[in-house]
Amino acid sequence: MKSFFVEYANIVATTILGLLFGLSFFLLYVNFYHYKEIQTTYTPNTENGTDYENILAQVNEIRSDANSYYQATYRGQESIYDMSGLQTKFNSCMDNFESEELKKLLDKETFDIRDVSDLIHYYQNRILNDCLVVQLYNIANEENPSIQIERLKVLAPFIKNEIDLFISTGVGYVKSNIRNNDSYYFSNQSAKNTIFELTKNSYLEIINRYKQSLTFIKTLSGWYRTVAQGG
Amino acid sequence: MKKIFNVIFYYLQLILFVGAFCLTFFIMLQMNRRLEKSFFTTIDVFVPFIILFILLIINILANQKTVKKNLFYNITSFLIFGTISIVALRAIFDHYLIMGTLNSYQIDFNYFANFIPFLKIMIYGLSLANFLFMFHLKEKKKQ
Repeated sequence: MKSFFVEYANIVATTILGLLFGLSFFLLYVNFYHYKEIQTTYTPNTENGTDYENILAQVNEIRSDANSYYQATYRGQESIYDMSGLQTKFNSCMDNFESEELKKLLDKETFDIRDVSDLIHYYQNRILNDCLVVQLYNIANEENPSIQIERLKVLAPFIKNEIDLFISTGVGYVKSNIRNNDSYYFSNQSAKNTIFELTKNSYLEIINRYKQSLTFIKTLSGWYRTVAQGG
Repeated sequence: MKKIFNVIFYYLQLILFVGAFCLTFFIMLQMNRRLEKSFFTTIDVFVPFIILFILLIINILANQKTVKKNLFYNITSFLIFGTISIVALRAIFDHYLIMGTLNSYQIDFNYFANFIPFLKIMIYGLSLANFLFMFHLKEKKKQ
C-alpha cells in the first residue's frame, strides 16, 4: 500500500514537472519571438524622395508664401503690424518642422518602434501644441483675436474646426498601440501584409499626421499670400 | 555523464533561484514605489518563493537524493528560474518595450505584471513536485 502511494506521488510529481517544463519552454520561446518581433524595422519607399525631403519641400513653399509679404511695399488695406505678426507665426511654425531634432528623427533610412514613439512625442509637443495651438489657434478666436485682419474672420471657423479636429483625432490610437507592444502577439507575414504591422503602420500613420498638418498650414499660407499681394 | 549534468544543473538552479528572486523583488519594489503603495500588498508574489526556499533547505539538510539527484527536476528548475530571470531582465533592459522607456523608472511594469501569474504557477508547481518527490521507499539493506 505504501509503495503504491509513493509510486503514485512520484508519477504525479513527474507529470507536474513535465507540464512545467513545457510551460517554461513555451514562455521562453514566446519571449524570444516577441523580442525579435518588436525589433522589426521599416524602410520607407523613397522613389518620390524621402518623407523628410517631402516635408521640407512643403515647408519651403509655406515659407515662400509667408515671406511674400514685404512691409515696405505692402499697399493693401490690412494693418502692417498684423500682417507682420501673421508672417512671424508662419515662420515660427515652420521652425518646428525644420529643427535639428526633427531632422535627427526623420532623416534615416530605416525606422524602428522607438523612432516612431519619438516622432509621436515630437508631433504632440512641437507641431500640435507649439505650432497649431499656440501659434495658429488664437488667430481664429472670434472674441479676442490676436491678429485683427478683416478677411481672417471668414477663415476663422475653418481654422478652428481643423485644429479642433487635429486635437481630437490626435495620435491616441497609434500611441496606445505602440505603448502596448509589451503584450505577446503572434504575427505572421500574411497578417502583416493584410492586417496590421506595428512598426510600419504606426510610422505611416504619424507621417500622415505631419503631412496633414502641413497641408492645412499651406492652405492658410496660400490665403496669406493672396492677401499680402493685395488680392 | 548523468552525475555531472546533475551537479551542474543543481547548482545552476540554486544560483538562478537567487537571481530570479532578487530581480523579482527589485521590480516589485520599484512598482510599488511608483504607485506609492505598501510593499506588503505584493507579498503574495513572494509566498511561492518562500515555500520553495523552505523546501530547498529541507532537501539540503535531509540530503534528499530523490530531489537533489533528480536530473529532470534540476533541468526543469533551471529552465523555470532562467525564464523568470530573462523576463525580469527584459522588463528592465529591453528599450524596445516602449512603456518601459516612457516612465521614469525605465522598467516595463505592465510586461512583468502580465508574467506574474505564470511565475506563481511555475514556482507553486515546482514546490508541489519537490514535496511529492520527498516520499520514497527506504532502500532495503542487502543481507
